[in-house]
Amino acid sequence: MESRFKQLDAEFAGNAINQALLRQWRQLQIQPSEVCDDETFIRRVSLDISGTLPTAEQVTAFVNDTTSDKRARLIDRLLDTPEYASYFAQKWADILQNRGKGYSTSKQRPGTALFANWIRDSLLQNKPYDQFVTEILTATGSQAVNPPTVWYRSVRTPSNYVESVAQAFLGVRIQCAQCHHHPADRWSQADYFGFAANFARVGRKTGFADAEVPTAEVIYVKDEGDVFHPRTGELLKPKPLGDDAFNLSVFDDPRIALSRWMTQPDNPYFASTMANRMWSHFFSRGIIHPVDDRRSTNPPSNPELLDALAESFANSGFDIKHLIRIICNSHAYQLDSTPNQNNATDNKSFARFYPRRMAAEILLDAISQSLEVPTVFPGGPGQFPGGTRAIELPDENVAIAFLDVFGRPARFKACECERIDSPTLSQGLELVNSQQIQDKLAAETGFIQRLADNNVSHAINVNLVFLTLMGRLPIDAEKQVAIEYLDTVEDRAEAYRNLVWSLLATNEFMFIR
Amino acid sequence: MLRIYQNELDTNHGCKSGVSRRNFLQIGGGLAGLSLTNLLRADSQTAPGHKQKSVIVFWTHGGMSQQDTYDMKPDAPSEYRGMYLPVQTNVTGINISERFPLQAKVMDRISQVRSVWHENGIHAPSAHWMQTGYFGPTLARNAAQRPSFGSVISRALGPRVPLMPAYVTVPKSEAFGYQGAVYLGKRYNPFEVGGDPNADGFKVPNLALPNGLSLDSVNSRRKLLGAFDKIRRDTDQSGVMEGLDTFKGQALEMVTGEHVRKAFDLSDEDDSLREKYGRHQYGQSALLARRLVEAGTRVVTINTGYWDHHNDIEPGLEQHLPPLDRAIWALIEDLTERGMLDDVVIYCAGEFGRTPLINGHAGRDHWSKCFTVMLAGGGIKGGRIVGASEKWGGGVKERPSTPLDVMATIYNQLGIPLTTHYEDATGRPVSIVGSGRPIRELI
Repeated sequence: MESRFKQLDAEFAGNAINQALLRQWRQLQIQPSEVCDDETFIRRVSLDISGTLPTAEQVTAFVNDTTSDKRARLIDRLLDTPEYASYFAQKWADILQNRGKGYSTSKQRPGTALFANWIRDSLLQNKPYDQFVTEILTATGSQAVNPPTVWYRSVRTPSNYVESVAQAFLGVRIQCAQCHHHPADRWSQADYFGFAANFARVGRKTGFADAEVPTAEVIYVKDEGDVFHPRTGELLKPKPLGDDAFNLSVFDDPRIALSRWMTQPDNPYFASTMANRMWSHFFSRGIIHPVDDRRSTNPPSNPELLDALAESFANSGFDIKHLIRIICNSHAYQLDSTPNQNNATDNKSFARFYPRRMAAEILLDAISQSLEVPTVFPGGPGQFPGGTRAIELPDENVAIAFLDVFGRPARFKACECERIDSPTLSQGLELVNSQQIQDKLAAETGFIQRLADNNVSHAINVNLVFLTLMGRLPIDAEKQVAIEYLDTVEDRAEAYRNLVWSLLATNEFMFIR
Repeated sequence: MLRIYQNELDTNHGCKSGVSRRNFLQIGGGLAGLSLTNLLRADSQTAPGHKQKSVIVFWTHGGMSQQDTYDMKPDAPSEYRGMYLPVQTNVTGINISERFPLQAKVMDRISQVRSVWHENGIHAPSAHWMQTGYFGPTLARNAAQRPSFGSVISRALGPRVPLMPAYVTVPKSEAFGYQGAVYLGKRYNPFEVGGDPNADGFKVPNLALPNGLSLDSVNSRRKLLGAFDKIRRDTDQSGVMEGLDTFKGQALEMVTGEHVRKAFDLSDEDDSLREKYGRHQYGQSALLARRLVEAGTRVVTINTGYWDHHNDIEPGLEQHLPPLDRAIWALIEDLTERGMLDDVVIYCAGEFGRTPLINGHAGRDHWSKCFTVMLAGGGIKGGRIVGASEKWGGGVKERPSTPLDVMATIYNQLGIPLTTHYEDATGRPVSIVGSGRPIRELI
């Protein structure tokens, strides 16, 4: 094992992230798995960055590319796709609770669509993360005109403000401190309500009140707004987390002071929380885990790794694509998920890739893409334009049972834990007997019909089916089973429907690995 | 967890090889190796004492009047007393409503807790209270905060036979959404039957095949899936792959297999027995529930009828009491004949009772200060009355019991340790019974 470590040591010279990983593997004597093959890598990284399966052509071209920097170039290419922006915008819309449900009218859609598009545009133009967050937290004006004010629609009360901001941007769950001193951390009620004071002057005007949550409000800064300690009654000045209160005049919007404090490169939470969140996106596990539960009693599994990521991110000017680039180019991200003798039970040193089931939207899109049959999304009224993908939906209030069954979050919390990947019987049934999937398989045009009509030998078609769905060619045994089956069925379309279904339902298809 | 041991399965492709030559596969991982006989055997091997017990719940959504059913007040003034007379049951000293004549014949196997109470009088939070043990959201459209007792049981015990859904609601879960699992995890949500068991040609919509898909195709797909679904399971330590394997196998079995489909097939029953249960939703739901628990389901909740009789309570009750009476009676008789009564807890309750005083619209309003729940079977002592209401109804006169006490009693009968805790979304361990204690008079 030591010889492998020595070899990696030499390879990793000058790369702080890989060095930090290696130091831990060496210390714990965990041997990392092998580097995964190209088929696995392109599927993994395409799904992780762009939420999209690679096509058969993309897989073939990538595998046949003989240049040594092809993985890095692939990462760059994916970061420039519009799908990257859509996919990560959906992730942020979850965290920012861009919620469509809970209104008695359909007036919410313009607002959620506006905010969703604003998030997507921000990612598309690679807006620096500090600017992105500042624009949300300090937003003022009409929700019909200034999209980030829509954040203030779901986030409305002092406890909403405190908990959403602390959890989403600072990685701290401070909820406990609302009623008593946090039992496992340093936070007191004075911290909680001092933090709340930053938002005490957020005012709201107009808006339709015919819904459970008013829509199209105007967010403005009130002249006054005080927060008192619930027990002592003491007036609490606006205060960042774990620091002295701000010294503000009545002309200062405390939210601006708070944003400035947060986005200082040496802020202990801000860059680190985002770095950890992004790492967790690609590895299914945060270095601090869960990603938004940073506390003294829940330390990072590899502090040097987290520091190296955070520092690089802050130094880049909070460049999100840079952060993703360094994560995806790390040695850990190249590793296979197949365990070796001594890393099978590893689940926090990143000595192998940890497979995870595709998120609901990605899974549905992957099925639609493979079968060449887009999903029709009801838009209330009407429907979303043809070809709309699940990762492009502005909010969660689009009635598609498949998405709910596979764990789409309701956007009630600023916590990624709201997206559930735990398996259920309904998921099993959705795969086995859903009309949604059967209709896609039986569509008059699309992949299946093409296979049925193309007068090409089963052997060639089976290769295409595997490349399209699994991102790899079949092994001999699989090919044999497939061809033997196809030969026995007279109706070619029926035969391919069943073959393709049986691949869609495999864990290999449903997992990013 | 149930595991099937497989040797020498070549599951390695795609990525480069590790070393494993052995795989432990969850059911369905090797769908080829899936057989009901094995599963049944595995269950019986792991089952300790209480493991065989199940629960059937009659949920009187809307709130059933205690004073017109179990807890009559014949000596009260007429505006309290209501329209029914009490009848003598087969237990000396216990009288119940003349609209429950069949239950009166088996009262030695039924007990009543006449002193259940909680502190809310609105449907949604009260339903949350009776389903979870705790006060809940005041608006029905707001999400549940706690897991239902059905989900707790599902999580603690799972199905009695692995291929059956652990927790089933008939025809659907109640409208407020408080019969679910919340932080226990979606897999402990109830399986909704989705159709009326009394309907002609009743089939389970959620087990039906989509248009254009034949059973033959599903069987082909299943075989092919068995051949292709061979990625190494030891790459995933999170349990998700294992769980998906289980549920894919279970879903395929439910859709194609004999065991589950048969359990849902009421046409398998003798007409005379179907008549005995009654040809109405209550009766056929109860019969279906018996078939399901017999086949291995752990909890069946029957959500039939809407009992919110603010106006003209008499015609409302006339519609619901006789079929409910027949369903409960037939179920008790049937389970007794099959020697299963001690293995199945029967529980009848709603979110609250109804006001002792009849209102100006000849109805009764919401009342949670004191109402009755019915318990039978599962080793619960029969022919008992626990607690009492005040003279004309109203408050608890003696031995107050909380919703958590009732749940603790049921958990206790099922052999679920009352010290069990489950973590909520913030990772805080939450006791399944809180302050609740089993009602000792019944156990």
